[in-house]
Amino acid sequence: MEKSLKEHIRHLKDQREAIRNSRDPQPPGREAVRELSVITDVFLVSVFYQAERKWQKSHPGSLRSITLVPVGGYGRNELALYSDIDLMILCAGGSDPVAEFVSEEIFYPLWDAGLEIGHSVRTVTDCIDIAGKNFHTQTSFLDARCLAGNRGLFGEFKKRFHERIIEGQRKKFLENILIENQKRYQRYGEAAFLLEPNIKEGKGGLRDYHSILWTAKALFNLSTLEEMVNAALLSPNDRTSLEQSLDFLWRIRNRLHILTGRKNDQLCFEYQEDMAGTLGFAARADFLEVEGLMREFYMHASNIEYISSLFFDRIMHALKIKPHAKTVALPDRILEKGVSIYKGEIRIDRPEALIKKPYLLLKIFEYAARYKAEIHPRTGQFIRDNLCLVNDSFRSSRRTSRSMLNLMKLGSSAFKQLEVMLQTGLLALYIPEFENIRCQVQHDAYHIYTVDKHSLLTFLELSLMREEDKYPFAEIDRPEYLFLTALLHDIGKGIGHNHAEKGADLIPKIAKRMGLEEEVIRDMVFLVRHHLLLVDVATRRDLEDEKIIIECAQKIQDIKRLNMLYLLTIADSKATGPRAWTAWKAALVDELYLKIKHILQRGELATPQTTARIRKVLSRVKDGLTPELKNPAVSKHIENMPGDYLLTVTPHKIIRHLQLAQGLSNKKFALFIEAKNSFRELTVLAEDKPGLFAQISGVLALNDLDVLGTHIFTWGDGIAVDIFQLRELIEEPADEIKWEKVTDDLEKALSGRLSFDYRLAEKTTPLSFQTKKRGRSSKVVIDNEISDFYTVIEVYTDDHPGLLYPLSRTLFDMGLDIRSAKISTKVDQVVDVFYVRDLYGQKIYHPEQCEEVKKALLFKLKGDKRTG
Amino acid sequence: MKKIEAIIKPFKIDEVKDALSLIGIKGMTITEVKGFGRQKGHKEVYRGAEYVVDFVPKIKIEVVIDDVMVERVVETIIKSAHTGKIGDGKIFVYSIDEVIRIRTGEKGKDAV
Repeated sequence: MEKSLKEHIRHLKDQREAIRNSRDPQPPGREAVRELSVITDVFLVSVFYQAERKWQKSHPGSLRSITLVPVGGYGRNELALYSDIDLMILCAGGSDPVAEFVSEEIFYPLWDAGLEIGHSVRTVTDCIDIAGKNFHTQTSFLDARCLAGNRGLFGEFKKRFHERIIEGQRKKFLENILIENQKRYQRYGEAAFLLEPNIKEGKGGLRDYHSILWTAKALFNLSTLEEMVNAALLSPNDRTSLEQSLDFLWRIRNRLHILTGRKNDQLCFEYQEDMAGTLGFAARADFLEVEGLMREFYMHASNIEYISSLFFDRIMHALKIKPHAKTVALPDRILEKGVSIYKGEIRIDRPEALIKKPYLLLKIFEYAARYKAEIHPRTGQFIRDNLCLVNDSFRSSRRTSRSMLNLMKLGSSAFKQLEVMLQTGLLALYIPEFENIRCQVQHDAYHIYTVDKHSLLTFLELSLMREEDKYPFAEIDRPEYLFLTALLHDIGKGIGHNHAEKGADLIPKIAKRMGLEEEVIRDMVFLVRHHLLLVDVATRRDLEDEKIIIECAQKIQDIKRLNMLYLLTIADSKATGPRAWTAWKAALVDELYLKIKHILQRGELATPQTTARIRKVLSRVKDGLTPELKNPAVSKHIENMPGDYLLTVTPHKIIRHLQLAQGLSNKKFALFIEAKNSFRELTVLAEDKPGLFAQISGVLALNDLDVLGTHIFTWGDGIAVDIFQLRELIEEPADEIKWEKVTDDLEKALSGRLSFDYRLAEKTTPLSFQTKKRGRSSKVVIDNEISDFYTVIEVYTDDHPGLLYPLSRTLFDMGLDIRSAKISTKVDQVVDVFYVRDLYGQKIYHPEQCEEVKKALLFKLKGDKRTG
Repeated sequence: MKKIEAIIKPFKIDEVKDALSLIGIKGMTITEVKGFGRQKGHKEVYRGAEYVVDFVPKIKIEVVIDDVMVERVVETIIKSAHTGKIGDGKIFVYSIDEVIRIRTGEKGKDAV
């Protein structure tokens, strides 16, 4: 008994429901899309004939005049659960009542069943008209097949379509396909689609495969991949791997439709995560399951993209179409025995040449980059067929290494060849460590390219920077090593956390295999290990803090490395995505770069020698700590000691200072005096505050102590260490009494109970100085270039006792904080150098303010002479 | 309801963000901005090549909160963004007329 229409629909729905509920972790791909097409076919054929019989019952004797024609994806038997079902009813004449009746009988139940139908009712003439106008219809007609009804009519449609649309217009067809592909790549190549790719339209998506099918059919009347292999348009290996990749795409497309419950071909983040679970991707410690899924996706997509590009290369060759018309023709020439440029393409005469000279595998790419030439498709095929020649001796050959380094020198023209090397697999065979990062994905919105692509793009960005002569590219010695490092900087990704460290550990093996020099290897290891340093510090640390900059400088140690690191940093960021390199970030990184460079140029604090010395002093201080000094507070002090302090003060004294600092918890200051041969040395430790230095100087002047020299330092945690070399102007009174008075005065001064100006004015200058001759004029120099953090004020003048107090007091009055000072005396000339910042921690930039400081200091110096 | 807008030093963002989430602030908007206030742009000379900093890079944080939270949020930002040096930034407090969550259409307090 015949099924009723309702039963047919229920059956269709049940079958679709079964597909929807399938929980197969390894569901089929190709088979599934075919199965759904067959299910749909069966339904449609039944309904079609039922409708036709119904019509014939009420119109006895009428002829079968219509045909049911699936087109597009349904025509190719590739239905995913929510794909459009594209159906055309072909009829013999316009406004055919049969067509009207049958289409209602078919389309209404399909709509009622909730399926998306693309439907049309056309005569053959309609079809030819519309195909002539619309390229998309043209391609969907190439997929047309006859499902039910009048076969003769379908035959006529095929014949006329061929004669009118295809014949004589093959080149035009190819052109259109290539234009469509370009448009599609552009549209779906934007950042958003890179992270959330479209399985159908994206690069390497199903559309790439359709384009192959359409082209083969339109140009050569070949309908299947097998026929293409027989016609040598596709190698057998390519066919197998293409089929595997397609199977994967169909599998995830089906899953995506089931998951979203609608026609959706874009792999959005949320679905990626869900799908990775249901498709059985297991997470690893260093690897999310979703990253496993997406890695496989990109592997297949890049495979399809590559095979499609090979296919179209071959077609264009066969049709003698030049894809890129060269502006300057490349003269034919022989490059070496068996290798030549002919008609702008590099070719190897015979594949045996590769077996005899395996180094050619790489050298061909070097030639191609050097002469900006294409590689002939057949030569490309030779190379791909002979990749097994890449073995250990190839990898460690000096000859191949030289080719690789030459390629590195060639910048953007090498980029194109590197892409091909990546796609063919040659790159990962030559540098096996590269395999780990192939198609490696980071599941976040920031890294929009897979790691291998990003590595190549870093190389490209670097090339572009060299072309525009970005500062300081001109200072880079042998840029090929920087380029090689750019290619390898993320080599540690995909093998666990801290990829920079992991990558740095891999570099020596790679570089030694390539026979690079030790010094080069050290630089490369350094660059890979620290390739995130500049961005991390620039965006997360206080660039006004000199200690931070010095630490960076100590890590980097020389300007050559800093320059390379800076350029690599920019290229790396630019190649990460449009959001990773902004003017905002550039401003911070530039500031950091210039500050580090400045420190390295001054060469005091960050040379390898000083870095080693600082390390030695620190370890000696730590070793020398007495038990009562082994506590967290002391460790904090040590951690915060500035480089110039560690380089100037002996470990023995540093320990002494740490002991004194212990006392600061219940006192305002701590001091001690040491007798040297001809002078005394006074050390004062106190919580740093503006004016401290002036107050100590005042106390010294009051007590007839002449300052011969001084060093003042500030530990990073805010403790000032001021060291004074003193000469006593008057021998009386005895030491103990004198120092007791100094201590007492200092106590009063720091509590604000001592006024210096009137007391000093009341004092008579000691006799020993009244006889000195004066006359040379004083000079004040203000310099903002020596340091990025402080304004440096140098005062040159005649020495006279008590000089330090008026100078430091003036600076204090002008709101300047003295961070360090060096006073040196030579006979009767004195040079006082002050490192100052304003109370907001800024240098004094304003010329007016500089002038004011200068005048104030000079006035003080003159004034003192007048009274002296 | 109020909107708190704070301009802070870039390297302080993690500290401020953590401090705010500790007091229960669940959402905020962060923007990379450039500008200058009392901390003027300046000119550095580097080996003869001038390097001009017209605008200083800063981070702008925006948080919309219920009135009762204003004081705590402001205090928290001050505490966590403070270095004592120039350029620590500023905090602005605005009145907000209405807040609507697009997904649900909720309004007012519920939408914050």
